[in-house]
Amino acid sequence: MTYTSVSFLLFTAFCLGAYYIMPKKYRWCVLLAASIGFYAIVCLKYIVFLLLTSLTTYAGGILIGNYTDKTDRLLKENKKTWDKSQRDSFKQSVGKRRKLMLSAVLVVNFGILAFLKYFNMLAVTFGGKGLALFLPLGISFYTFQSMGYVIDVYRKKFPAEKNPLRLLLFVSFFPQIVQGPISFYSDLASQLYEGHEFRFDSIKQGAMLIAWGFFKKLVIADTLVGGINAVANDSASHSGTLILSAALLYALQLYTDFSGGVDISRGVSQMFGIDLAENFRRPYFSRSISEYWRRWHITLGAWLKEYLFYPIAMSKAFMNLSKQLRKRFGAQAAKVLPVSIASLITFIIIGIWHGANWKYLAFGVFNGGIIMISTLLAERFTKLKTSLKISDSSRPFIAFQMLRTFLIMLVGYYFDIATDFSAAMDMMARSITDLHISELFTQSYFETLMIQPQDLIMVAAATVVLLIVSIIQERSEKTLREQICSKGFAAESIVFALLVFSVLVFGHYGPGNNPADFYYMQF
Amino acid sequence: MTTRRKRALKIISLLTAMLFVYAFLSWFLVRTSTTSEMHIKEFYKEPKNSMDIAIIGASEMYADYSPPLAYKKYGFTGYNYCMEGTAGQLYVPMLETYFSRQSPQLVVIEVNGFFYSEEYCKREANSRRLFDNIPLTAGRFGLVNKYVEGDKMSYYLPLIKHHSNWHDLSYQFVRAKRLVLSDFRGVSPTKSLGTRTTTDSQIKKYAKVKNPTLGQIGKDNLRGTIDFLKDSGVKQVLFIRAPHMGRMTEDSAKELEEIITDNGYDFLDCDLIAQDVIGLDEKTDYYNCEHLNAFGCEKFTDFLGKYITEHYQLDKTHTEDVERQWQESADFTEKVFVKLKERTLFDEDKEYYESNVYNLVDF
Repeated sequence: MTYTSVSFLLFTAFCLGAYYIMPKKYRWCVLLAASIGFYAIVCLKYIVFLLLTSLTTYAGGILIGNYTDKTDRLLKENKKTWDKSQRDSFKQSVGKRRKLMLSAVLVVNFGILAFLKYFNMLAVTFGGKGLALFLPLGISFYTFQSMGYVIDVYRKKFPAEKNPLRLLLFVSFFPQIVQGPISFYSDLASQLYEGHEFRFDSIKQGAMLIAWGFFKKLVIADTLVGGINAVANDSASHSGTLILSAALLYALQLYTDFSGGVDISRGVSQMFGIDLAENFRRPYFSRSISEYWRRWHITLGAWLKEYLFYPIAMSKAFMNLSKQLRKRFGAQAAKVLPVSIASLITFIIIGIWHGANWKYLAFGVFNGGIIMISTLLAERFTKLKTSLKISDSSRPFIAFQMLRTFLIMLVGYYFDIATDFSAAMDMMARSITDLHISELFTQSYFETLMIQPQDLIMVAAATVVLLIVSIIQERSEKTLREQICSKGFAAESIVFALLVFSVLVFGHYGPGNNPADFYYMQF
Repeated sequence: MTTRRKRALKIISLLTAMLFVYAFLSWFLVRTSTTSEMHIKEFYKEPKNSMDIAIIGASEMYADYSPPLAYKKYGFTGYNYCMEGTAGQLYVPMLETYFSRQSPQLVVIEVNGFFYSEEYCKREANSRRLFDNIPLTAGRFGLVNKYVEGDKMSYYLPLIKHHSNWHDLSYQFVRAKRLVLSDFRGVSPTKSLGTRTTTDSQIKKYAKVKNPTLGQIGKDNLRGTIDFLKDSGVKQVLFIRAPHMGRMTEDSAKELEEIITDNGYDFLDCDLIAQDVIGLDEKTDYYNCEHLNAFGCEKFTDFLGKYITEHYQLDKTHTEDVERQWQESADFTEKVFVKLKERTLFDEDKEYYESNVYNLVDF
């Protein structure tokens, strides 16, 4: 039961009915039953991992929370009787134990994730044999989300959740379990547990968002995925023209696949009255790589910033490094270099998160390296722009920046689609040295990309629609759905019907056209 | 009107409009094969209980046997409820659909469908030709539920299967025009026909004569068909092997006959009597080794019509409307056959089927 299947839509409709029929107080129970049911239907044999993560997260939260409450109380009670050294010593010992508890939960959960995801890669690299390991559905997403919760309890942002079933719902909420978005407990939990009123607007806008997600996934992404894989998996026997075409199409396919899936997740959630965090904000309009990463997979970026980047950048080691740099190289170096190194580490982690293959490490180093260099050279760029009298708001310059960012990201995508690191390098080289424009008009070009010319025209038209929608969204504070809905029933009906029938007719689905899995499902 | 009512009305209007568009797209984009689509759809236009016999089978029957010509000479009605390459497992649902509208006194079943391999029988296209062309109002859902194995959703909602036919819109427009015109014309004048204006001696690519054998899947399908006929209380059943140049292997023919006759039904192997009794000439009466042309069809129709009349009890009384309609069909089909034969003599080598014979004769 994938998100794009009829059975998922029927499942959602059934859950919606059950949710709004149930008394408000118990509506979260419907969500929990639906989430566990969904996971059991999709991959029952791996549910034990989900339950294990939920259990350890719950236990970790409760232990840390209770211990914190107890020690805080003790400290308060003895505020007058203990002297400063006693208090400091107590705080130190409490801190250590809290860290130990947190570490235990993190090690267990990230350990499971790392073992399942990376053991085989490391074993093969070091000459050993791999194991028949599998990745439970959505393990990266629910592990990150639940560990965020434990860290926040540790940071005393909120008390630990006392009800294990409620926590299980937070970990397993079915619209987001497959590929996120990764939510913060403080944003999502109260929405999950609150019994939402039935609001027609939520249903309407949710349905519109789901239809838009289907359009992106089935009309654009899945039409292209077969050809991209065919070229990328056998890149040595294809020309540079085909490889470059595959890479360009991949940029479109990846975005529409992932953002389409997240739109479906957000749309389904919205129907239950739950707003999931936005995960994409027109990333191809970015003017720099760092901006791109603020617009692409926003929730992963936010998670890493909160729980990895800041802790590294604010760590004692980095503070000391900053002090040393200030002494030797001045204030600018002290400000920029530690941040750049922290960025690099974060991007290496992002790279590794993307997959158990050295090419993803290269992908992380590439992105982190570009951002590091840009940060280090930012001041010089500013001076250069001033001397050349280039305004940041000039349209040609903005277009240049967008194109430059896209091309840099395109290089990164080669690591994604290639079978390994050396294939990625070879593909990049041949995309420049082996280009034949005339090949674009041959039958074999379309055959290799596994699309008919009509498909290409249809995808081009769909992409124009996507572009127009993106431009409108970029220029407005309101979502396009809100704008359409404000124009009245006729307008929203026409848009909705057009989306639905575009998907039904032009979508890549049905017997012989099996929709591809969501790309990020494998994480 | 309250806001809630207004909203409900708007939603109902939207859903109704979308349902209509969906129904149109489902109709417009479906694509099976021209002959099967015409033969199945046209069957449902026939008046209920107007058929004296049922003819079930594949292309052999709609090429070799013409019900209107048989009516003209022998007075009984029947419909070639046949699709190209019909696999044996479809005979039961075909019989069930036939019986849902007609009460034939005799069932004629061509046995070629029992000779297909298991791999062929499992091909999705086979069941698509039948089920996708059965109207919703004729209980398509029930039939699909009963007879289709595996994914049924795309049979209930055919757009799931056929939506990608937008790639070839020109064909879909031609098909839509054909269906609309056929609806305007009313009942089928030829009672399903598919032929070709050439002789086998002119065709090289069909030269390879096959000698079919009865495999396990064929036996199972045959037994299933017989069981269904028995359960349905059908007394008069004639299994026939229509004239082919490739004869059944001896063992297969024997086994087939045994299964049929042991169950109390009749079997007629026309391969054995094609030349001597029916009078077919391999050089002039076949358009390929498996099908007769217009000349052969006239001869075989005459033979089978006579055989049925002599061997089975048929009450040939019909209502006035049915008689008039069949008389018109017979007159039209006779004219069509004159043209078909002319064109065969000139070796025009074109395919003619239910929907394009109008080009031959004004109707």
